Amino acid sequence: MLEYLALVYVRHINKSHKLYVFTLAQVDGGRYSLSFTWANYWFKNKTVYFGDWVVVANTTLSGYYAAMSRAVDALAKKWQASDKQYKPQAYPQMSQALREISRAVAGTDIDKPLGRGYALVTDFVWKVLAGALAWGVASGITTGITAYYVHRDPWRATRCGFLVGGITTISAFVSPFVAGMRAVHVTDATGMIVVPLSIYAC
Amino acid sequence: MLNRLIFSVAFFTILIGVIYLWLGVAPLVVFLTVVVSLSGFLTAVLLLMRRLDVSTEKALETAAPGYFTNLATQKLFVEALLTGDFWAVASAVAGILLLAFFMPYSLAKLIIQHQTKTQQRDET
Repeated sequence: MLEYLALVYVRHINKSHKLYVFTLAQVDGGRYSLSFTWANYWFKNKTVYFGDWVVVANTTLSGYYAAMSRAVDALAKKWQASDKQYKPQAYPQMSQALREISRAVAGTDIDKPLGRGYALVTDFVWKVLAGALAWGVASGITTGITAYYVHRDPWRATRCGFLVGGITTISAFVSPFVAGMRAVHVTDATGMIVVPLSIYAC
Repeated sequence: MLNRLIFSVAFFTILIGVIYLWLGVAPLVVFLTVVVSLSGFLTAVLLLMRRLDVSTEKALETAAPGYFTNLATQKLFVEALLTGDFWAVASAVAGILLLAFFMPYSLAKLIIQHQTKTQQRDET
């Protein structure tokens, strides 16, 4: 039987700025074999968002948070060094929160050795998710209805609508995340993943 | 880079066309699917170049993911158009306008805007 530890930290900085840290760690024989953390800084009217991965190995739960805190701090300094106009907001707040969690966890009964920990740190704008969802739902409904009139098969129409709606939502949502990549790779991946799935479902 | 993109677009167009024919889809449907998808793709490229003032390469690069998605989904709308059923045609027209013509431009615009803003790194 698999056992997990879930840890949720929320800080309401002000009306439009909130910070969330979600951790899920797999308990395995008195230690954590694997853990994943999503640390997210939420802006109400933000127009830009970023994400970075952090990987930590062979430490304790408090050491994992401390390492994440140092990593986020280093990332903020790195971005600041790349652009003098850039004024870090999200990453310093995240670093501080992770440091606080590390101190709070240290010495408690949940502070056990950890094999490997992953973290995704993001600052996020709700408008992108809302827009992607609206766009995906519209695409899914249109495609589903059309598929029903063509095939007269409710199951196939549902499958097709969900697939196209899902793919559209995901691609609209992740496109800003992949904006830093060469779009030609995104293009090829789209062709190889979306096309066979859509042909199969619709 | 431009050659790589043109090759990518041509390669996927031919590959998907061949897959459709191999699956027994009528050649007319395959042809119309490519025509509809390509029209949306070129419309997106032209709009991006005119309205956002981006290079041809950037416009092709960012509109291509939408085009590939359309190659796979527009067949359904073309088939619906050919049924002649009022509601099938109505939903197909809505789908073509939304997915074939608006989606590639909108997705590409989103990518370009965020690429520009990411370079500015003004808030994180």
